[in-house]
Amino acid sequence: MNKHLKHIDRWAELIIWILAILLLAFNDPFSEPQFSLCIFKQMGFNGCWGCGLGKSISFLIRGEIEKSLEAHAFGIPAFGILTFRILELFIHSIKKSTFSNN
Amino acid sequence: MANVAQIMPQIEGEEMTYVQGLIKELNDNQAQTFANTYLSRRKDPQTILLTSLIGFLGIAGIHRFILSQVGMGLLYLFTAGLCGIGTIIDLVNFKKLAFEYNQKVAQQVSVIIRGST
Repeated sequence: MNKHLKHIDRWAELIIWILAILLLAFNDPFSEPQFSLCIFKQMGFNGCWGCGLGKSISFLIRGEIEKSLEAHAFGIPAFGILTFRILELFIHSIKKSTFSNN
Repeated sequence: MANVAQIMPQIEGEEMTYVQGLIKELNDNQAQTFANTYLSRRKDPQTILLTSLIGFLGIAGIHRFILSQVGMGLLYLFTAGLCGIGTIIDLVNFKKLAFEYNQKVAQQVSVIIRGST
């Protein structure tokens, strides 16, 4: 068990992005207010140009393109890029597990 | 037998183990060539750490560009590092990010060395 836990950091990034997408898929973007994970906002800086991204992706997953763009202009490419990264990490981790030299 | 600790002393941990496995069958000449090439192409984990920190100043994703992850770099750039969350994740994860990149470099260099001798 410990041997596997030691290597979990290999999967950490993959798990985090998958969790993020899942959370946004099952989260309801229509209901206000959305709590913000943004560290800049929490520090009082309301001008963060990343905020709205979660909602944007959430809307996109539900097919609301207009609302998605309204929430954040970069939401659509963001979703694409994250999906691509998830696939990249997934394929990379499968490949690694077939080699003995981990 | 080629030894990482002798010819590439700045490499440690997982990276060291991995590279050691790749060069152990090489003769001294090949190993030295490997070292020269690999060291010039690898990214130092500390560089990744420091450039990811810049994300907290608003310009996020530089470390991802350094690792040739242009898509992720742009994502971070346009979203202030995913509102800082991506920056935090990468701060925790910087060694693995560097290692992922360096593994590919090591494999490529290894193929080149074995192919040319």
